[in-house]
Amino acid sequence: MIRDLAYMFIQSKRDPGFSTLCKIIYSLGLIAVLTASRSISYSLYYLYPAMILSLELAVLSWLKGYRTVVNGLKLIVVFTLLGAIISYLAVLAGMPAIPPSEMVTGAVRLVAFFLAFTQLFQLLSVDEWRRILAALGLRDQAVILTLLLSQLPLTLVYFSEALVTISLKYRGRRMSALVTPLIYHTALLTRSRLEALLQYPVKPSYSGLTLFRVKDIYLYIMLALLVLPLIPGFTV
Amino acid sequence: MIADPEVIVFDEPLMWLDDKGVNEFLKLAEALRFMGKTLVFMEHRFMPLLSVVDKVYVMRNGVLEDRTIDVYRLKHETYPEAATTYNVSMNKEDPVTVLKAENVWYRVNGLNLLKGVDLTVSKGDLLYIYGENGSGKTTLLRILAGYLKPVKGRVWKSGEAVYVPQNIHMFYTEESITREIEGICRSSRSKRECIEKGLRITAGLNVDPSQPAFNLSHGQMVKLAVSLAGLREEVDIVLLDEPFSGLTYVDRVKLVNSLIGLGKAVVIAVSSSDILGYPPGSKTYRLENGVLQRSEAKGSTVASYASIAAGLLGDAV
Repeated sequence: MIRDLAYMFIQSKRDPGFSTLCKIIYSLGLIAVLTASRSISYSLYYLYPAMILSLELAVLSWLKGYRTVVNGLKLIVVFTLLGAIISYLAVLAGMPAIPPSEMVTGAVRLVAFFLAFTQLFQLLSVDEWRRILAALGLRDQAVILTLLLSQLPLTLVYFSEALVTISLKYRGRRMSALVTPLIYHTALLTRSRLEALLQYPVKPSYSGLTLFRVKDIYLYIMLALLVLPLIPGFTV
Repeated sequence: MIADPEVIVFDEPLMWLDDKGVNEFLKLAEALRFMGKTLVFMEHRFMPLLSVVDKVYVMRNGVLEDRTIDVYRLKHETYPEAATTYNVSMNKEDPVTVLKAENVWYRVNGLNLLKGVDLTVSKGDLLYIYGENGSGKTTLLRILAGYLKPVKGRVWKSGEAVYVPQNIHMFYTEESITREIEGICRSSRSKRECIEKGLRITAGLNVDPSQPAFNLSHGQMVKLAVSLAGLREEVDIVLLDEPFSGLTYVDRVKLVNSLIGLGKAVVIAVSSSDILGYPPGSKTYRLENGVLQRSEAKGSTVASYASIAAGLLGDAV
């Protein structure tokens, strides 16, 4: 489950054909409409988060395959179960129970929020993040980000290695001790990376950000359709 | 190669490579030589490189010596088969099973990494699991250790298992070796004896127990980790993931001999075939396409390699 969640933050290998600007507007737009939809008309209150979630899953499924949809559905089940547990505990504490329909809608809304956030990482490539930072005048930070992201999978491998080793070494006790070898290893790796950078000081070349590509129109239309119900006076 | 260098220096290029990787690297070295590049290799595992180099230097105590003639003379000498080795012969008549894996399957990302692995390990066994990088050796060790759950099948152990990782830094957690020993012995039934034994081991390895283990050389770190892994008497099985990476041939032989001295069942995952069959009596299994099969090693090359290295370094095997 944790690995599946981690996959939700990994960029798709295929180029979706959208501009960088469109990807940012689409991801942030989804978060914005979800936030604004709390005051939506009653007739769409339950349907609206499901519509957004369906759109997110459709886009992600197209980019990364059916597995993302399964992960999204798994998340809904997990959050619904958590909601049910909290509701049960609330009843035990003498508070009013949450209706099941609210529980499911809440879970759907939460997952939709989560997926909208992860789309920033799934749609934007590391190179695009670098270009965004460079455009903001943060060139050094862009290099640091690249190094950080290239190091992250290795760090996770070492974490897993340390976890197995320490849990068996100390029979499942003192698990906090695994921090020490990880810090040590991070220091060693940092030194190696710095040596590599000093020996091969390849300056990253930044091309400009793409502002428009033809396929952007599809995402903008879908986003506009989602904004429509939020306009005051809109009725179904 | 973007900068088209004249000289290329390789620092332990074979350290993390499996046999297939070594062959590919040798082809690359040949191609670079053909391009007229000067290549310098710093390497413990130097035997495969002899086919591509013109000169061999030995570095010892800060002095670099040309030993090209000696290395080829030593290479063509014959060495008695494992003359200086131990035999794994504990409990062979009445083997006591300490670990049994039955029909173990494991899936990663929809692919079957392990397909019905069966394995029985007896007390005192020294067993190699040989496979290419990415063949599932580490995953199998983790399943045998009880850390990962197989999707199908079962693993039974009589006692505890300890895992020594490929990246040896991950084994150490404390600010001194004494603290390491105390930490390991904390959960031992005979805590005092355990600590005393640990301190005797450090004395035997000639390391200062007040120092952090991180200050030791790579070879010493591996040897100490292996010795500490078998410290608690409750531990039946020691699982090692590629412990020979970065060790000299002499140290590889010494490490195996010290593993036999532990008196525990030892399972070692390796991607290099040099060590297979050493010492006589050890068992070899090959992990390929998720299937684990018993394989007969045709006599190890590591003992003769160690003799050559010892001849060059003036070290004893």
